[in-house]
Amino acid sequence: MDFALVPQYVVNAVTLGSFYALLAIGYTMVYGIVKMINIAHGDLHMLGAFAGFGAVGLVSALLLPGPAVLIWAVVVAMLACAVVGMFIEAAIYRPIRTDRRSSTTAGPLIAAIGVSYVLQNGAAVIWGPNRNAFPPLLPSNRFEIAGAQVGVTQLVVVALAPLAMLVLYLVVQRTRLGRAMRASSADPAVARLMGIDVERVILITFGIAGAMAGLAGVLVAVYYGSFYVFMGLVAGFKAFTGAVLGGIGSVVGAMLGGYLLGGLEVLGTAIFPAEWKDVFAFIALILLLTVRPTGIVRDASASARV
Amino acid sequence: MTKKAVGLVLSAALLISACTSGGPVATGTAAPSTAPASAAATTAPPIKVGFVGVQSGDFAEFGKETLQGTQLALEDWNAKGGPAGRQLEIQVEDDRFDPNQAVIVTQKLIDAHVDVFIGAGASSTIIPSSLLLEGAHIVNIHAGSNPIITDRGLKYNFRASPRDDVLQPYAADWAFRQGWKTVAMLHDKTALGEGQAIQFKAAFEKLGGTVLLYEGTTSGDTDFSGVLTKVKGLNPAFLYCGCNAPQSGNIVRQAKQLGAAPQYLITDSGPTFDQVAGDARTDVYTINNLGPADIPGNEDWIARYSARWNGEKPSAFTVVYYAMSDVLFYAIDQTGGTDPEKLADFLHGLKGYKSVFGTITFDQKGDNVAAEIGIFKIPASGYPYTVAERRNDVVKP
Repeated sequence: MDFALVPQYVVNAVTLGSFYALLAIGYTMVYGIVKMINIAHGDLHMLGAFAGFGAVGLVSALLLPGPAVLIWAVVVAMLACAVVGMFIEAAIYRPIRTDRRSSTTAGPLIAAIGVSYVLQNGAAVIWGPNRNAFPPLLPSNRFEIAGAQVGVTQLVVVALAPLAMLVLYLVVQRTRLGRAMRASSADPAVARLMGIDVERVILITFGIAGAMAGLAGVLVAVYYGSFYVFMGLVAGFKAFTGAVLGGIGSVVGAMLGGYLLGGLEVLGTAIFPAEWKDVFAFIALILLLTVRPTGIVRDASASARV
Repeated sequence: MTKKAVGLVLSAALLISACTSGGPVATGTAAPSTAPASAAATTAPPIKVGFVGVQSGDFAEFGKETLQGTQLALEDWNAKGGPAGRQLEIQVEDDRFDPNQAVIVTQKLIDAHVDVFIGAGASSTIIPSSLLLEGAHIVNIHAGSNPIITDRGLKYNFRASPRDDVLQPYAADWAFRQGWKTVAMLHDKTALGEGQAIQFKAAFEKLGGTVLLYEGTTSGDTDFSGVLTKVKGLNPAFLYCGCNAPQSGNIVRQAKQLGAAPQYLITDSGPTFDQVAGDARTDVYTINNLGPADIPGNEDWIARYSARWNGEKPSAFTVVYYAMSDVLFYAIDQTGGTDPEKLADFLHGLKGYKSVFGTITFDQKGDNVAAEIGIFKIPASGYPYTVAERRNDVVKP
């Protein structure tokens, strides 16, 4: 490993980790409150990229400055994905989850796999399987920081991801809604007795998770310059891994897990041939889980969990 | 409509197409069939063409282009009465770039009694699929580039595109002649991408070049910043990408942002690469068979292709698929049917067939030894790419 390259590796890891973290939050929030793995979450971020692209197209005639278009695209994508996320919950997951005859875990999981297939292949039918170029909304300037090349888009991604996560953390910890979420997660039956509309809280949770996926989708598309209908598959899988690594159910854990997975992948590439990257990252994951089966954030108390 | 009425309409259509002289097909020898076309069509059953390609996933764009090429060739032949006076019917299956799936869909087409077979989509799927077809005695033609395919002594298997062990040593030689003596190599671990990289590496090292890095990527990955940072640290004269077009696009884009290497040589390019790479596509070199616009006299064909497919421009893959479908139908026409022995013998002896892809001459292995290849420089925008060098005399070293 060439140590002169360490700053660049750190930049790479933080960028990649930001994407994983943003997506991991959605997995962890949903899991925290309904104990269900929403496999289709990765595909929501694909929809986010398409929604963002559509939003850019809508305002292209106005010739707005790039950053303004980016904000607009992010807002549209977040709203669109929040709506889709809530729709999926209300129309598909809730009926399965609340039906006494259905299996508590397998039913919603299989439904989620189905939703994932429908989203991916439905999108492929509508938009075609090709890669689409995302217009460059930010200047392509690059800076050299401590010997590492950093682009403007990269800076935005690296700054926006923790900001979004911080806002989310504050919502969960400091607001009435957050308290209702934590209560519903800790014990839905008691929360109901306390007058909390648990189903409504779950719906909002899906909305927030969807919004985060939408944000991630637009940022990925802007940063990598392209997006396509199957982009949610691998990204979703990796982010889910990040969520488990961090301790599924915990927002802080999902952030840490996302960054850690990004770091492990980059470290794996730096030390071993690139084809061993995922092998290395996942061996590390397995080892970590054997030592800490609950992930990094072990605290299972309601206060740390959504 | 009764069968008889259908027959009448068909013969009328054939008569009309027979009267409009010339026909739309640009390829040389117009096809005279042994029997009067109209009479044959009323009785002769259609010829079933099996097509297996990548219709979904990472290579879907490539798969769509190839199918469009084949379909146009099929429509051109049908418009002039069909080979040997029989209409062509196509059945399309998706191999999803997966060897297991390729075996399943190939068997499905064999069970459906296809007469001839086009595909599968890529080397890794052709390798198993062609074995099944050999057993079923079905003539199959493809554009796979892995040398193994035709080196197994198959009788019914034909390759229209150049072999990797012709293409890649030539590319290595060209790079070396540019004074590029050190290389970092990435491949996508598929039979196609890694197969190409192995050939390139061997040839480049034989010339005296140094391979500083030789690593594989993971399917579905979009972030290559880690390995590219490593490449940057090694300071190679150029970066070689034996990866599929979307990966190459991502790699070149990110590599240029990092300043990983001064020059780039990639094996798979085309519209998908251009889309993904964006501005970074400028001055990247690519190696391939010649594209449609690089072969003189193709202007009409290109215009017709665009008119048929919503204004799309044919790529270097499309043109191979058109040409190889065309030559297969030509063989059916010349041998008067789909007898696999006659077809195979005819194709093995075929010399100098003029196609939109240049000359096609098959050897005893089933390789097209006349395939024209080149190194292309990708311009800042638009298609076709600029030809940096072209050759049709390169043989296996």
